[in-house]
Amino acid sequence: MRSLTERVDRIIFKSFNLSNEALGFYRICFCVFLILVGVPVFTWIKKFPDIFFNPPPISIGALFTTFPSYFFLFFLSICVCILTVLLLFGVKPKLVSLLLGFFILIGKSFSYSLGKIDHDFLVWLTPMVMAFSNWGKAFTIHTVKVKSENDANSDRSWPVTLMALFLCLAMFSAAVPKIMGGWLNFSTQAVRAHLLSSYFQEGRQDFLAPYFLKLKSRAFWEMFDYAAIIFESTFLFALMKPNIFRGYVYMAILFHVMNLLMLNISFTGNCIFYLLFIDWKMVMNFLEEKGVLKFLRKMITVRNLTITLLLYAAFYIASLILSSDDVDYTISPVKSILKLFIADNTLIKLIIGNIILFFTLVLSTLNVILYFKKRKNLSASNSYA
Amino acid sequence: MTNKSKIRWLFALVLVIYVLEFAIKLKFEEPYPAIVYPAFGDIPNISRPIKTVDIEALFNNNDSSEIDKKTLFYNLPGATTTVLLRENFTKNRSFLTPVVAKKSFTINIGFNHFKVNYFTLKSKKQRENGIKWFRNRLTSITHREDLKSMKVKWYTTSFDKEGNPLKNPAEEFLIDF
Repeated sequence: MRSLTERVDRIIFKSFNLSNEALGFYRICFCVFLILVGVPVFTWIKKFPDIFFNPPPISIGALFTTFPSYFFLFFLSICVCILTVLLLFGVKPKLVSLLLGFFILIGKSFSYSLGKIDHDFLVWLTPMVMAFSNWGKAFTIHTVKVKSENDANSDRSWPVTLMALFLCLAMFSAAVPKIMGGWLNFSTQAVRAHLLSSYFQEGRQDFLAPYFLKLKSRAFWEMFDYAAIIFESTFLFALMKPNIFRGYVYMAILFHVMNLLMLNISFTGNCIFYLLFIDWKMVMNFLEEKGVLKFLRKMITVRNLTITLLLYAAFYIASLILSSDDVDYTISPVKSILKLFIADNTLIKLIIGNIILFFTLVLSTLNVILYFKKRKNLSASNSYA
Repeated sequence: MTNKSKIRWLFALVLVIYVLEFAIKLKFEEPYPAIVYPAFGDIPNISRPIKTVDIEALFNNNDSSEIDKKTLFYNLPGATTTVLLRENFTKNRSFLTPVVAKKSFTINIGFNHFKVNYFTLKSKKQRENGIKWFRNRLTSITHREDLKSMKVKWYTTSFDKEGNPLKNPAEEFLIDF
């Protein structure tokens, strides 16, 4: 029988053995996601007077008494833009990842000092944790020497497991208050109550919301309540087996799709994070076959880095000068282009969010199909042998 | 200590910090940063009225103008605007309160209750700047200089079967310029 340490070690060091190429490609996906969807910026905070400075009592913001100066927030924002581009090209990946995560965390601490906390911690946590993985060892402008195959994989796979643990813990934190709030009580249909509140009080009446409203079966809605709690509270145990964990991540994606269709809540910030756990071997083989990886290797040059850096910094400064009065938490070229055609900011966010969610759903579904196909082939060949 | 054991300790530390932060969130208020997701643990009751708010600019000639709260706060997301209004524009939580606003919270450990007091500094200058900020915002929105005051009107609102709001006035908050 294996000892507890061996079991723990197997989970920490062997669960997610991604190749350097896969991690490098994921790093590129993460940065492209940020650049296209929106790099967090913080100068908007100074639109509000210091009297609104109301940080949570236990927070980084609580160490201060007012919002920082505009110059500091501008410095923070421009650094985040530059560091994202540097990370995309793999310049000093460890240092840059840590700085990127740290700067976003500081900026967000001030953003949430208005009193409302958003739960987008993965945007700063991902670079901070992945800095210790091998995500900076491939597709970089430096030539990186890998000490050994061991260094390339298992010794450096623990940051992916740590990210998985963070997801499990966050999910668990959502389950407990539901249990305490009476979700398991048969006399309450909590999901339906949230649907009614969102439909009538917040006016979220799009997609499938009107159809769900017609469903009145108690058993049906109670099933949703139980499913949510079982799903969120057992996520932690899924960490024992990587493939079960991947199944849970796939269910989480479906959960977000359901949220969008029923409650019209587009929560897409997590999508890029969920993609960390797909079976990258299949994706990388496909991309290699199609010549995408070869193309990427060619694109990672100092010349392209300089051009992207200058373009993005210029875009940020131009968007600061030309921006409307509205608060914008992020800057993104996609958003700016869409703004030329669509006036409603909320609609733009919904469009971008839905595209990302759709892309994540398709990619993860393909992954699931390929996984089962591979298993079927494997069992067929075993029975043949 | 080997590299592997350092990493094992890191995982253990993450678990310890998580338990502490989660306990703080459940017992008191959500810290930041914290590895927690929103739970939506409260079950909304559609028949129970909710608190809604309207904002009005009042002028010297007794004119008034309804102000869209989204426009007033530069189109901040609705949830943030609601928190801002709740934390600053009620009798209990007013941004016009004296220089040092005293806040407190209670931590329950077993059967023991610990009351912790802390202070949020709101200087006179900050309050004056806050009032000036509202005056400037309202001037740029209404294009009028003769502003007398700003009124924040709270309602307890219930909804009929068609989802139409039925408002009952609750509390008013006034900022004189």
